[in-house]
Amino acid sequence: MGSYAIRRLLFAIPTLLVISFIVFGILDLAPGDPTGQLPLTIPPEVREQIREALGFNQPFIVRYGLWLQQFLINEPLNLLEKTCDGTWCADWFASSETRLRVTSWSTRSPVVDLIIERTPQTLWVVGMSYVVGILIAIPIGIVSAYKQYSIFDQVGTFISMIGFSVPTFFTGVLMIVIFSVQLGWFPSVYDTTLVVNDWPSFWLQVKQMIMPVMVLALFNASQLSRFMRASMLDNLSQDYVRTARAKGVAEKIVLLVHVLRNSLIPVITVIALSIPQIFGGAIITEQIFRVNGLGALLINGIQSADYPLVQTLTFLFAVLIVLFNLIADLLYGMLDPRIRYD
Amino acid sequence: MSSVGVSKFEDLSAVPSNVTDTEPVLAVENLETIFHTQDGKVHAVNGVSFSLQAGELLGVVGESGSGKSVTMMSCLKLLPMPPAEIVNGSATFQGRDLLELNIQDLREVRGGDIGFIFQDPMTSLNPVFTIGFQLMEPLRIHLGMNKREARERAIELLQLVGIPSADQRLKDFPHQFSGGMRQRVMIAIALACDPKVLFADEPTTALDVTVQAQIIELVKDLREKFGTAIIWVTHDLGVVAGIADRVAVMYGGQIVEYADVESLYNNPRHPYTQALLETLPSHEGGRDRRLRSIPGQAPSLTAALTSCPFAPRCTQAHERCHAQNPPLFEVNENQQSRCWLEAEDSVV
Ligand SMILES: Nc1ncnc2c1ncn2[C@@H]1O[C@H](COP(=O)(O)OP(=O)(O)OP(=O)(O)O)[C@@H](O)[C@H]1O
Ligand SMILES: [Mg+2]
Repeated sequence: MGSYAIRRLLFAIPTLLVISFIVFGILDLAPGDPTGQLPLTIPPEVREQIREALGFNQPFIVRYGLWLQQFLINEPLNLLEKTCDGTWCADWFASSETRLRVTSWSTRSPVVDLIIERTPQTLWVVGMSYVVGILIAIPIGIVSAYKQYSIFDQVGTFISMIGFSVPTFFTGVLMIVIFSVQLGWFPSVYDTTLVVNDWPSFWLQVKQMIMPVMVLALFNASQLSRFMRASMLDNLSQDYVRTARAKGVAEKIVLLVHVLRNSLIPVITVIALSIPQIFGGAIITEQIFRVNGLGALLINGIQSADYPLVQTLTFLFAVLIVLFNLIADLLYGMLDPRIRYD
Repeated sequence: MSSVGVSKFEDLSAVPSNVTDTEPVLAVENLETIFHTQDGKVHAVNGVSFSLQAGELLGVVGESGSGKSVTMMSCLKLLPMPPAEIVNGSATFQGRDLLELNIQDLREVRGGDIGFIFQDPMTSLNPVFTIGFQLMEPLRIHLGMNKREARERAIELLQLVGIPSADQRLKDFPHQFSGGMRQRVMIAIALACDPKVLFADEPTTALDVTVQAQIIELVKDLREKFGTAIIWVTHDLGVVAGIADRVAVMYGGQIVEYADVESLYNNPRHPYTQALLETLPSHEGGRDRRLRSIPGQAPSLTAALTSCPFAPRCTQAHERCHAQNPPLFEVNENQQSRCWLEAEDSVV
C-alpha cells in the first residue's frame, strides 16, 4: 500500500500543475481590475502606475511563472528557514529578504500569512460542525435503518429533508432572530479576537460557536444520516446477516458489529472526501455569523480582484481535494479486505 | 382446512409412519407462512408437517419456488418479519415450540442445537471478518469457550470439513476462498456446536460435481459419527436417492408426497413426483439423455389454496382436483400422497 500511495502522490504532481495553470487562466479571463475598488478620484495615470507596480501588465505566462516560483519554491524555503532557525542548519536557507512571496494585492501582506491567520476560525467552526454532524448522523442513520418506517424513521426523514432543503442562510438568520434577538442567549456576531484563557472566556467561545456550528451541523447531518441509513439498509438485507442470526448472535452485535462494520465503509469514504470542504469554509455561514475564516477571505479576495490571493486559495483547495481523494482510497483499502492495492 | 373429514388426515401426517416409535427430535406441524408484499399476500408455505428422528436424513425436493427454503427458515424464525409472517403451526424441538420461544431462548437454539447451512455460500459469509472470527463466534456464544479454546476447535472443524492448512486459513477473509471452500466453512460453522439437527438448504447446488460428492461424503460421515438429524433440501433427486432415509416432495408450499426412499423411487404415487422422476436423465436408455422438464408454470400462490396447485399441469387431473385441495392420504404405512387419486374409495 505504501508504494501505491507514493505512486499516486507522484501522479498528483502533474495533475496539480495542470490545475494551477487552468485556475490561473480562468482568473485571467475573468473581468476584474485590482484598482476597481479604489476611490474614483484617483486619476487614470495613477491607476496605471498601480497596475504596473502590481505586475498586472506583465504577460500572462510571466505572471504564472512568477506565481509558481513564489508559491512552490520560495514559500517552502521560507518554511524551512523558520523551522531551521537557531539550529545547525540555520544558514542553509537564510535569505528570506531576497525571496519574493506571493503577496495579496489588496492587503499587501503575504497570502500565506493571511491563510495561516484565518485557518483556526474556520477549523473551529466548520470543523466542529462536521464532527457534530457526524456524531448526530451515524446513530440516527443506524436507528432509522433498523427501525425502518417507524415513527423515529419518519420523523428523522422529515427533519433531514428540511435540514437538507432549507438553505443555511435561512436557518442561520432564523436562529439569529430567535436565539440572539428574541431570547438573547447567544451573540449574533462571532468575535475572532476572543482569547480563551479561562473558564468564562471558554464559555463565551462556546456560546458564540453554538449557532454557526449547529446550523452547519444540521445541514451536514441531514445528508450524512440519509447516507448512513441507506448503507445500513443495503447491508441489513444481505445474506450474511441471516447467517449471523442463525449462529445465535445477539441482535445488538448483529447490528453494531456485523452490519455496522460493513455499512461504515462507504460512509467513511464520503466523510474523507468531504473534508476539503471544511477548509473551503462554509462561505455563506461564515458571512452570516461574521466568522472571518477562509471562506470570508476568499469572498473578499474575489470582490477586490485580488488575483494572487484567489489563485493561491483555489490552488490549495485543489491540493486538499487531490490529497483527500487519495486518503479516501487508502481508507477504503484498509476497511475493506477485498480491496488490495499493489 | 376445508372440511372436517380432511383435517383428520392432516393430523395423521404429523405422526411419523415408518421409522421407530421414539420421540422425534424435531416435529413440525401444519406450518403456514405468508409474505405481505406490495402486490398482496404470497402464501409460500401452506400447512407443512414433517418430523425427524435422531440420525435420520430427510430429503426435501421440489422445483424452485415450492417453499423449501421458507419452510426451513420459518422453523428458526430466520425470515425477515415483516414481510414474512408465520400464521399457523408449531415446530417442537426438545419439548418446546420454537415458534413460541422468546428471542433469548431461540438464540440459544440457533447455532447451538440446530445448525443451518444456507443456499448461497458466496454471500452467506460476512466479507469484512476473517473466517476464524466467523467460525469462532458460535463457539464462544454457545460453548462459552475462550479465544484459545475456540481457535483450537475452529482448526479442528476446518480440518473436519477438509480445508488444508487450517490454522493459517483462519485469518483469511471469505473472498480468499473458492465457492466450494466457503460452503465447507458454512458447514463447519453449522456443525460447530455439535447440533442435534442440521438444516442444509441446497448445500451442494452451487458447487461442481466433484466437490458436491466430497461434501455428500462428509455429511454421511458426520451423521454416522454424531447422530445428527439432517434435513437436506435439494433439486437433485439423484442426490436424495443416495443419502436420504425419507423424502418430502414439495409443490406450491405443501408437501405433496412424503415417503421413505425405496417407496418413493419404486412406487411414486403423486403425479408430480412421477413427473419429477421422469425428468431425471435415464442411465439405462443410453440414447435419450435429453433433459426433460414438466410442462406448465409454477403456481402463483397469491391466494390461499382452494384447489390442487398442481392440477393445471397434471395429466391425470379431474374435476375434483380443480375444486378442492386434497389432504395427505396415507397410501401405506411408509407413504403419503396429497392427491385425489388416492381418494377413490376412502373419503367422501
Ligand atoms: N422475501 C420474500 N418476499 C416475498 N415472497 C417471498 C420472499 N421470499 C420467498 N418468497 C416466495 O416464497 C415462495 C417460496 O420461496 P422459497 O425460497 O422457499 O423457494 P425454494 O423452494 O427454496 O426455491 P429454490 O429451489 O429456488 O431455492 C416463492 O414463491 C417466493 O416468491
Ligand atoms: Mg431455496
